[in-house]
Amino acid sequence: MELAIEVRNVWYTYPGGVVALRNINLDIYLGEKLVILGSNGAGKSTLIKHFNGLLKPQKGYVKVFGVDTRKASVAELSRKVGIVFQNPYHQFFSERVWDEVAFALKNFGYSEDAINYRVTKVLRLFDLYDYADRSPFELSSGEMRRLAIASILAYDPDVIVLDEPTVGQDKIQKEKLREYIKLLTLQNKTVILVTHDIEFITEGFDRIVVMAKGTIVGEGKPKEILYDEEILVKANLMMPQIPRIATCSKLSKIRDERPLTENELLFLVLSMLRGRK
Amino acid sequence: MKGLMESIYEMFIFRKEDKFLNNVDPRVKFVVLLATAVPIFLSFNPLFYVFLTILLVLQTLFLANARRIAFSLKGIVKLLIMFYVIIYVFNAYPNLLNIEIAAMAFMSIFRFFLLVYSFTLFFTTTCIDDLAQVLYKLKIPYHIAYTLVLSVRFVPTVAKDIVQIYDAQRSRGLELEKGNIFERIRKILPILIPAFIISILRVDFVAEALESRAFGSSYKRTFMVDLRIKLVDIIYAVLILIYILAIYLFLNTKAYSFVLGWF
Amino acid sequence: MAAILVENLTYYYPKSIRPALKNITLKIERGDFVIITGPSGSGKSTLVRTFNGLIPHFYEGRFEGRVLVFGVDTRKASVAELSRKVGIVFQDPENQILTLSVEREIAFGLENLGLPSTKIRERVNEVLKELKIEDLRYRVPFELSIGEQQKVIVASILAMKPEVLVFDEPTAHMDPYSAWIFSKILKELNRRGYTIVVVEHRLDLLVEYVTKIFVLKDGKLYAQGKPGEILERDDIDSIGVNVPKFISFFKKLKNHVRTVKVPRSINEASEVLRKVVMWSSL
Repeated sequence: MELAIEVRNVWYTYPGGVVALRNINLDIYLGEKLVILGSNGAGKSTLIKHFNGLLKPQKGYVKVFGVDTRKASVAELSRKVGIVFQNPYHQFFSERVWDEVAFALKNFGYSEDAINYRVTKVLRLFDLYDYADRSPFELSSGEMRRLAIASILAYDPDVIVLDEPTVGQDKIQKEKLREYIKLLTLQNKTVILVTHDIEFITEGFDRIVVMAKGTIVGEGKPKEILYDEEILVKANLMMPQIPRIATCSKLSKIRDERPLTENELLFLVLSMLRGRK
Repeated sequence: MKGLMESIYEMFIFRKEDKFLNNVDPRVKFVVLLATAVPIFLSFNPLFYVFLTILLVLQTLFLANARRIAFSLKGIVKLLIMFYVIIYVFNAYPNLLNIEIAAMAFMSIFRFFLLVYSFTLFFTTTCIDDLAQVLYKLKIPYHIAYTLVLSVRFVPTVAKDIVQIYDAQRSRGLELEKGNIFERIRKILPILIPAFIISILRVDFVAEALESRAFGSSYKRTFMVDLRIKLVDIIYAVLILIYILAIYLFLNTKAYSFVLGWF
Repeated sequence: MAAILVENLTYYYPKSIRPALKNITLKIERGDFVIITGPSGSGKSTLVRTFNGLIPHFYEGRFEGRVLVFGVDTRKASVAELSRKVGIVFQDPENQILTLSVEREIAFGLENLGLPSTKIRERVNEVLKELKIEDLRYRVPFELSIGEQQKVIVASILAMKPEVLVFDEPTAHMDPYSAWIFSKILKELNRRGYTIVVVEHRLDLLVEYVTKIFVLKDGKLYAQGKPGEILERDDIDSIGVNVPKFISFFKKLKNHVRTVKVPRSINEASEVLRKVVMWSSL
């Protein structure tokens, strides 16, 4: 698999003296659906800011598609790695939704035709085309989030990082978010989700990297990580509900299975009950 | 620039310290501030500035938190050095080596420094909350006095927002370093507009919180620590005033020329 | 006397054609621990702002019906008066910190109410002890973590000694562990006699402690009742209520194994599942 982002022995300390990253080593592959999991203050946001050069490592290096981030500008790196930040209000400033999506494209020097084509395409993809002439501030919070993702997807970065997109969202909005993530993977994007929402990541992702206090304390498939109480405790996190009841009821031990969703657990329990008959 | 912001922040933020000046009533400190600042404007005598500096430094070392004050002054000093160079070059050009102008420029900058120093001493040893209380006691309506507190309180919040906005926009290709002067000014918009909008939206939330804590409900607002002028405060102020008066008289009467006659 | 009585409440925000709240009637008793939930935009935040008078006094708009707080009509009392009965902790700690030190923050409401200085100092000490945050007394609130900030804000509301505490999505910005700690604090406050009203999407941590759930949808009171009754309903998932996974799993299991009892807490869920496992391996 092709390496998208390479992080080697990275250390970063904020000007105030807070050591945010300690010797981080991480490989992110093209096409992955990766989760960076950790509680507040673990260093997740600091890490992803290294992916597009917003922060440069003080020790070690970060390579994005082979390019050392210390040798490239944020604008250059952002073309490859798009970050959708948590609060849409930190980015909206245009009069129209259309301009908002076109902003990045203009900055990157796309032609008028290319801009028209891409903005139209991405607005349609996210069901926002009818709002093209409206003000971004008239949108509902769910629509704003959609717009934020759309405006990054518009310029087609290979990697899209979503920084805590589930905060404050209700169930329906989270389901929609899952759909958008699926949409992104269908577009062959590498998706990196940064979150502390352990329930949200129980399905749809290939790999979980767990961070705590600036280091990576665990890495692996969801079935491994979400059942690993030791790692989760180290990261000040809790087991998601389904793995928790599967573990506490000894079910996962007896059957040596690791259900993550309700349906997986249901299937397991029903097969056990049928086996009894 | 960042260092300057941090210095200023440290000057206004509240820190609980057991230093003499921190416990002196703000009204007394303000009178002392005036007594120190006004002569700076009126006098052009370098010796006077020396004595004033001694006064400020002594207070800093023995009556307040020297480290914090030094930190607050650090940022300004860098700026002042820059100003000094500008003033000197501007006035000395094309003759770049002029002792007279160097001295004159230094005097101007030093006066300004002394002014900033006295204000810094005042603000680092005075909690803004107390200042608001003092204004209220001087019959200014509390909701006006309180805006002082709110302003200081939200500076770091707004600064944090701006950093996050800047990060988000840079990630969309915004490059502030590039372009001519007009383009660069236009590029500030994607940072200013979100900052304004967030602040405006914030107003409602803060207002709700204020209302829910009964803000503005009582005609007579009380304070957890009721400020009162103590005897020590008065002694302190009187000593300072005597010192300043003494220098002034000393430098302006025959006594000065008499002492100078010894040399 | 009920703590909060809402009768036929219909409310329109100023210049709004659609009502934010439609004909809501509900009762919250003293000592209750209540959750108000529902999809985004259903009116939850609007509803709780009627409990301390922000609606109608701060927001104005068209207010029909009435809200009684310990028998007092909110239209006839000021927000300041009502804030001594009902304290609201809003969602974002950043916008609720109003001063520059923790002890001043806690004293702030009391100073506004004009209490004597000694009484204020007394209460501040009391509350710092009550929430075990004495070590934070002289800190600058801006420099604290989100969990600590929320504790300070709760402290500043508690200082005003309201009988009802309302929380509007308090854990929205918290990570799971902090949210868990917070739910324990809420449980403890309820145990001490406070009436607790929480607006929340995340139900899994609180559902075992609450006595009643109110579900709002499109400004109307869609359902109300004991958490067990409400969350076991078949229609409740589809309207956007975030039924905790450990409950919705057992609802599904119940379709196949009729005798299964839907648990109320995650520990109970583990117990029930263990029994099922044991039974099936006999």
